[in-house]
Amino acid sequence: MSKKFVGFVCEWGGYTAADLAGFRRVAYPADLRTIRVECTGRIDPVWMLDALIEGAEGAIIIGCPMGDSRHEVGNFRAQERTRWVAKGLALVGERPDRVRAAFLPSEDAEGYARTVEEFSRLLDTLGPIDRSEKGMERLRALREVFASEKIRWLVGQGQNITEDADAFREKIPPLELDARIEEVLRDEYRRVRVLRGLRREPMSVVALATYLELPAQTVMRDVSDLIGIGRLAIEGHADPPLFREVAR
Amino acid sequence: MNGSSTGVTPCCGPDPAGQPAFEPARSGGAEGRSARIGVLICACGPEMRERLDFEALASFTSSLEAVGHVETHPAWCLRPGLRRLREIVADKGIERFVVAGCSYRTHRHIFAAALERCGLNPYLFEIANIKEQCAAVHPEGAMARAMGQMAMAVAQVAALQPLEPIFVQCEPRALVIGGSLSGLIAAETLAGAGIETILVEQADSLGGSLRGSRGTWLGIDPGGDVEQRAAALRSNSLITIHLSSNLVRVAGGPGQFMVTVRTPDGDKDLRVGAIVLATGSRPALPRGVYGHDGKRVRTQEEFMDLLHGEARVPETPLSIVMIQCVGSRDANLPYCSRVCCHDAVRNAIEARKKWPDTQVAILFRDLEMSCLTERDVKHALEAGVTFHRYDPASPPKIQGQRVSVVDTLLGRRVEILFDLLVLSVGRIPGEGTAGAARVLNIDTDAYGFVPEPVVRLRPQEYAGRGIYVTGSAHWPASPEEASYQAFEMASRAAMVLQRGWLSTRPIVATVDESRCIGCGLCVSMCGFGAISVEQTEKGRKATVQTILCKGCGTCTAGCPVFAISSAFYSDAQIAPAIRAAVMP
Repeated sequence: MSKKFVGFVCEWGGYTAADLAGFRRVAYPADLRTIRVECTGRIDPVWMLDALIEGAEGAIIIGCPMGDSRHEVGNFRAQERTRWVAKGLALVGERPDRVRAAFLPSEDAEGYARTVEEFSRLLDTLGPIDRSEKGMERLRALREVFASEKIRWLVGQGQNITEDADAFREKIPPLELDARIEEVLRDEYRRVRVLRGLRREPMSVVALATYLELPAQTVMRDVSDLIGIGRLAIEGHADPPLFREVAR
Repeated sequence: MNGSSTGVTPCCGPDPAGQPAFEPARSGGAEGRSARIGVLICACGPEMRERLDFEALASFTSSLEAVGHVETHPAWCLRPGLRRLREIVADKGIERFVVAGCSYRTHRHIFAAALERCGLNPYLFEIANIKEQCAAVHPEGAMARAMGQMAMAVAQVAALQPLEPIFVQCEPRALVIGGSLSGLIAAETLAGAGIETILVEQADSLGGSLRGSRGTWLGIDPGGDVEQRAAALRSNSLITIHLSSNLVRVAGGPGQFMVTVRTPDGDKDLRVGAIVLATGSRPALPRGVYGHDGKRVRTQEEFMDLLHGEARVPETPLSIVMIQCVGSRDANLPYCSRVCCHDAVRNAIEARKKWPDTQVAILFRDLEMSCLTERDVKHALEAGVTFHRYDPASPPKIQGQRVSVVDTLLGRRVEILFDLLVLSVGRIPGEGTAGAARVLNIDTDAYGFVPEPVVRLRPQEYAGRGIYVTGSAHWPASPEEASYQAFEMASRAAMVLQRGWLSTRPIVATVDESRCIGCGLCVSMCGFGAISVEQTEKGRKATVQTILCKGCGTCTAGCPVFAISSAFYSDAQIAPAIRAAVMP
């Protein structure tokens, strides 16, 4: 039993249910490590990826049922953020169900134990995360995607758009939003990989495309976009030109 | 630090003139003395002893970085344990502690209080739950989990910052919106507690929907009552009354509201510490239902003019028929207005007394008589009032001077001749409610009332925001209920205003203005209206009303540029815990 996974629990839901499971001696696997927060709304998408990068095989959020949170909207946000991270994992070739958000009443000790056990068993069937250099690089790039202003803004705004309306007073159906989320994540992930590649060492587009295993045309387009927003610059006077990341 | 907040003056403690509740001066944690961590391992409980090896746990935690002292005790939370804790603080100079034992939820308070008594900051402390969430539930692997959770707690405590409770000074002034019965009572109560009170009423006179009403409710004469109270308020030097006025702007937060009241003499800017919302309710006027004309077909309110009026009666009615739930409990107003049944029964009794030869019949759907008013049904029956229950699917029909209804209790059609038809209509929110709720940024329900949002989880939610909702602004209330509520809410407000300060625990969000880009996403994420984006010298920046912040951290985790941080649950503190989670 060497695998471990991180449970982010809110003080009022998950943590309380876990306490109750303890009072009632409801057993569940010991490969869980919990981190208590005030509300599941506090759980940053980046934390879930950090857990996977640091060595955990999965990350689970356990909070209060929807509409039953003393913090009003925190659990809705946590659910939405988990959905995005799961999509991100799928994008980098990892199993999306390595992150999960479960919401149960604080008095549901058995539910807590069952949730933990099911997740633990699921991670066993998934096997360990690919921790090769390439695999880790993919996860780190994904973490950078979720730390980027653009994606964080969209994650936050996504729910507002489906529930209220966007700037054009249009309500976007959730399914359509999902498609757009995936598109934006894919673009951002590719750009982050370009940035990270050039952060290692300045490269030409062709060299970078070989390194990233992407078509040179795609990389060229990303490079020129990133130059346009001041994230990349030309290094020296080599021919073909070498690009480097602009320090921020 | 308390972070930035507009309009709110954070002060370092209670007013020196008042009674300080606690000692604000405390050692600052890391500075001066050692920042090493003390780990207190609790060895109580059979599973704990059976499944955990305390010596191994102690030697494991001693090997962790930043740990200065490790000690095992049978029960740290009991008096001998706490005495030993005091010795450790004194002898070893340790200021940060991890207790490995029972739940944070049940034992935090014990250790936080003990640390405070030792002169330490109670927020430099965390519990590793190795009992309920470890030994008790893991027949196997408890040891590994205990080590993991303890390493995580140590990593977290090493990154904690000392936190101080937040105090906000309170303006010793109250604003009452609405001159309804509850508004009048609230103003009277506040002024009675010596608090300067400003009463704002939208109409040109006080009294709300009870003004001019006659008759009694459980022995009270609400109409006379509001007149007396209004007169008393007018001569009270602590009360300023603005008639034909509206609340148009509110800024700041509890204790420090800056409000603008639009009066006929121009806008007035005021600073108040609490706001009482008492905008009341009013009857939903029927539009042409049952041929309503205000004379032969009247509402209960209009009927009371006739019943108690000064000889404006053209002639004595011979037969009065009252219909309940007119335009109420239907698709438009699906709720029960609660007071109309009693109004009808009371008026029926009065009518029988005044005109002994007059027949009175009440056609009802469900006679909703709350608490003591139930006995009035008996009085009405004794007085000779007849009751007929009708089915909303086939409501009473009017044909000339005749009302025809299927009495579901008798199981047959009843026809009654009448010369006066009285309609009991539902009640809708007072005219000022919608505007005031919008300005105060509080939610109204589908019908425009201001119910408490989540009564079960956070009762008196609005009181925490410095807004005291009372009377029929909540929901149609009887004069008696409205009086109780107004008295209670005004008393609550008075307690805060007399004390002069508000406080909250320091687990709140703070904004780093140098990072904030003013996008306002946090504003849409906050469920408590605690964040707003304000124009500052450095551009648009988010600011947190610390007194409203519940510390959930939803804004922190959603900030696109990591400009917000949550005290006690900061990234700097969780990241090491995540690293430690997979360590041993």
